[in-house]
Amino acid sequence: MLSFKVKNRLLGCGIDTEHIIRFAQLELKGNKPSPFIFSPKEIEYCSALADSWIAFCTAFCCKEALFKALQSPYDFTACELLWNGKKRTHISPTLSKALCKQHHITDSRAYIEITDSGECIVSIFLFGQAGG
Amino acid sequence: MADSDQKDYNEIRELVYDYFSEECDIAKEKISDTTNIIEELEGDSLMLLSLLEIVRKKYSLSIELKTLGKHLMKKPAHTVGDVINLTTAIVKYGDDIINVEL
Repeated sequence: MLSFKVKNRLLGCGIDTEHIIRFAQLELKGNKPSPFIFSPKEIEYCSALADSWIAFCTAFCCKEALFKALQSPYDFTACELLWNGKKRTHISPTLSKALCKQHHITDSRAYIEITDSGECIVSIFLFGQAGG
Repeated sequence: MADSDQKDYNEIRELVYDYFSEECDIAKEKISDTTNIIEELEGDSLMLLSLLEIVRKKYSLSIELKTLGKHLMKKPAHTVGDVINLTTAIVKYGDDIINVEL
């Protein structure tokens, strides 16, 4: 008989994908990253990277995936994702304390994949306390 | 509609048409208020957010995305006309948009 000791329970999951080129085009057009969407920390971190548009694209996908996981609107700046430059990677996004409290989130994980055809895919998993 | 509201509406209408025409690489004449953004223009949330960022800057607005999201869940914007009405309401009411029955 299998038995599991569950510390966390899955609260929700969401996925989003975007063409990276769209973010490169926004940058080429001279559009600055929107403070409506990205936090000051994300803007500073992503702008400093050579592949800044990929970093902004991953952060945006993460925010959209979170919207789907929560199934309710939130301020996109309450979710920060700082891409580590890897094409396939797991990152824990930083969610604001207020957002975590509101949705009883204790942990979050994002899986990022940058495809060879230039798409960014981000899936996010939200966890809460088991029995909570 | 008051003269100033009509002026804002016309200005926003022009802005929205110009934006979708450029972003979707389609002649302005081929767009109408009933054009469906997703099905006919292949638009998406990034496109809508980019448009709203332009509007925020142009009219120096500080509306929160959460407020906008709540409003859109109550009254989704499917067509170009819906986006014009939404944008006009954002400019007129700002964060109070959530308390206004449109």
